Amino acid sequence: MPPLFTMKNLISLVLSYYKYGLIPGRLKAGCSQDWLPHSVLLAACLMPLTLLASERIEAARKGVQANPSSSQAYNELASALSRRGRDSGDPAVYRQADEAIQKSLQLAPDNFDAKKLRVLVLLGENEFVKARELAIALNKKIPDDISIWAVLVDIHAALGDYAEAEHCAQWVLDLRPGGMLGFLKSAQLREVFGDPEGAAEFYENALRRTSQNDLEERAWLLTLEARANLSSSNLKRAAELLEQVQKTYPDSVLALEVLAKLRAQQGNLVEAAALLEKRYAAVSSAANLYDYALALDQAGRKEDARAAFAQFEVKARANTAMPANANDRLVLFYTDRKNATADGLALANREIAARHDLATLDAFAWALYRNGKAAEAKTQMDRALAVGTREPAYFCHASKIAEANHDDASAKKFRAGCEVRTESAQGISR
Amino acid sequence: MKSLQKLNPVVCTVLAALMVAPPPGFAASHREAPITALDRAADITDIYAFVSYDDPSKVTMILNVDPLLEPGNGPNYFPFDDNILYSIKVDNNNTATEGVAFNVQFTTEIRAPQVFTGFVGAGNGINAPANSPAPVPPGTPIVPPAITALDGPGSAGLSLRQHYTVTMVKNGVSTPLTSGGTLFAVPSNVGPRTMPNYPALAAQGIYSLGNGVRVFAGTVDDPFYIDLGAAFDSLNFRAGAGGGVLSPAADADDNTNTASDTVSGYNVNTIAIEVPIAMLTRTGTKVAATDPAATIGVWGTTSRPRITVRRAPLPAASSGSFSQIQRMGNPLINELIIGTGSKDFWSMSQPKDDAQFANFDLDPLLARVLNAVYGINIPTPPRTDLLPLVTYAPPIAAVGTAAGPIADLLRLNTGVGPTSAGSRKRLGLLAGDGAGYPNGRRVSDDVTDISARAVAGVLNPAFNVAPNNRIGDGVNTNDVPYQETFPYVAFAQSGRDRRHIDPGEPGCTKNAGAPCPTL
Repeated sequence: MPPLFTMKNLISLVLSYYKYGLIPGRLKAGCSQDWLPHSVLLAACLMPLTLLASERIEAARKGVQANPSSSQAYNELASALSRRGRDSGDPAVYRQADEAIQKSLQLAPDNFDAKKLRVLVLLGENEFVKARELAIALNKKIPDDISIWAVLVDIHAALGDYAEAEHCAQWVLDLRPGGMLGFLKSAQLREVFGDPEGAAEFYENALRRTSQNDLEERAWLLTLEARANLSSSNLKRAAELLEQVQKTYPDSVLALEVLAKLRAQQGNLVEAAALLEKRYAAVSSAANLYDYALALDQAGRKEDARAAFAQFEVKARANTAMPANANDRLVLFYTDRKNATADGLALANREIAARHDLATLDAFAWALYRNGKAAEAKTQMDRALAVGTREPAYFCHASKIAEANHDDASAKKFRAGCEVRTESAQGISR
Repeated sequence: MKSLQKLNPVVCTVLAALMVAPPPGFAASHREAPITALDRAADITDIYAFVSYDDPSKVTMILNVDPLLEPGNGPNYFPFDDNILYSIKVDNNNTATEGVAFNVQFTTEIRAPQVFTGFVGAGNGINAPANSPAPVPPGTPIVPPAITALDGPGSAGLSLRQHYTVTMVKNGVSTPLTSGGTLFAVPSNVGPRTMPNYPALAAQGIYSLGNGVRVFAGTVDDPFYIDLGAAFDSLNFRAGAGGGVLSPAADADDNTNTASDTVSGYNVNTIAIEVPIAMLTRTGTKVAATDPAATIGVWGTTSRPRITVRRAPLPAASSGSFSQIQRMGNPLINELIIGTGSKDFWSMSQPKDDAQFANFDLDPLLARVLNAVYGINIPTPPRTDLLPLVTYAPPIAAVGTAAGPIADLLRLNTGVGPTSAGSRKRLGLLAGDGAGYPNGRRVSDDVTDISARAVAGVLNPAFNVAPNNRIGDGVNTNDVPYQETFPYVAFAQSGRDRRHIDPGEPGCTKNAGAPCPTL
């Protein structure tokens, strides 16, 4: 009797499921889609499929339609959406992810995966304190789950608690020595700590541990590695990496941002502006608009820039009380473009009460400086620079603040850091 | 010298047996945590600490790693990992921190890189025969002589050879104990052709380092014994062994197995060190059992070089160049008590911080399983009856000893002398043998039965009744005899001739006697 499933008909069966959108793209993570027959799952696990983010989301949506009572199906959808959100920063995507999570929790209130996804969504929505609270509760429940330690790195870093972030990243490295997540989270911190070369090395390690089939994850890592190379002025390597991303995963929004930075550093400000325009078209957030406006300005398109900045102000002010806001950019807009320095400082004061990450510290210090509070500005800028960052935009601000404090030696030193790549403008650098 | 039994007659005399009922199940610690399941070279299976049988002025500590080594599994067999720091640590001031530590690190050499196996040899060596094709002329040595030595003549066949260093760290000061010589690890027992006199070969791996310290490292018979398969089949103990509750006769017979020993025929890698008690206690002397300074806490760790978030020369917030992979004190804690979601976290934590796991320790889920599934009466939490296992408390430590923090340490009252071979009890302290677990741990102690009974509450006299005090898996003794002298474990089983004693097979006890029950 011939075997029921030969490899050939098994593969064709899998492909038929794929065709009808029943198999999400990244099956290697768990292979736990409980709406699929076991044999199909097995084959799918053996033969991972590669999908773009939009396809993956669509496949997950079909999974939900096919099995609306499966909490796991909603988790898959939330996972696909939150991954997309990670790349794009699009609040709408996070809202959709949250809806899927709520549905999953309705179906299975205690399901741990949904709660973990909820942390990711809260993080994406800039609800850092809520995200931290939930993540710590989950961490207490299962201390061995490294993905929670990993997301705690992101949360602590977003709040500016870098020592805590480092502690968590070290746990990830220790808990799974040589694991992908440990390298990824540590690389991100190395960037913050002013070690882009070390970050690039770790991104490379993370990349090596990521499946060739997982295009989305690989594109994400390649883009981050490119960003680290850019920070260490290795433009050639950055360009190579971004080229790979463009070929394999043209959907990436983050790649547009990093490519714009590359073009700016190469002196091609026109293309930088075009890339940021494309990015803004993909995700129409206030932050993306500010970066685009700044690029227009730097490219010499002053009128277009003025219009974009005006539009930015309206958009940013509408969201200023929301967790997902562009307040750091709005502060800089008030202080540098609108001559509304008092408004800028008021907003910066509000932000610094909520978080003290590098960008917030920088914006606060700059607002203080613009309001004639040079000594206080120095204190805040020192806090930022003490983290170890080598971000030129911060050094530009630091040099001005040092000058105002009559500290010529520091001003000269900071100016050198600023002049390394003055093309990487403040907005783009965030 | 007072025996421990005399320190606390209550606990030592309320051990009895009656009744019938159900079972628990355990293993020492083979692959118990996810991280060590993935990193078996760093997986601590057991740690032992006891007053040396033949010299009551010394303590022997044995750290076993890398579980269930199939003796025939060539060609590389079971080297220690050069990248692991193996440590045996001793707390001597009741703080659950290391007062003395012995660190062991290995180096591997490949002496015959063209040879396809780690160990090879036969007779006086075998040369190319007369019909040897060119370009190898007849008479050319092909197979080296049988391995009879760890170094020098007779060692040519040891292609994969390891040597190691031992460093004592006391009060923060590191002292190399290797004393200028080279310490070789004893290889696995490949078989009688390659290693015709294995006991003699292995004995060469016992080194005296001066100051009364002796060490041995290498592959040995795994001294642990258990019906592991039944235990992890959701406590499906064999009817032939009382279904998890031993008959009085079976319980009283320390030399007969009524169930198969899953670990039989397997080897393990061991690091054994014998140290004068005076080097371990805080007083620098051996003191009486009634002295609070007599009791030490012992635990083992394995660590790997750490990858740090920051690179040098940036200041590293994380201290230390090694990351702890695993630790072990008592044989049951991580295996039976700590929840799966916390096992790695526990493994990487320090004993002094074990209060964070107090909920696991003082209200063990296993006890509740016994209560729920079998109706056994168990003490009401918090289970203070278990405190002697996780603090310095009588009957192990002398009255007046500072309890210290809750910490998983193997506590040993060094003032309690060894029990002679004829009087030794597999149930150790529970059977009135004051030199046995949980006062330290000897290789022969039946920690499976002892731990199960402790979890069932027998350290509380009110619960030291049947069936709680007759819980057992039916494996009461090891498949091969232990040694009565250092390093006390049996040397490695032969790769060619080893035997795993399975259910239904004859020779359930030390390869002899009645078959092991299947059901």
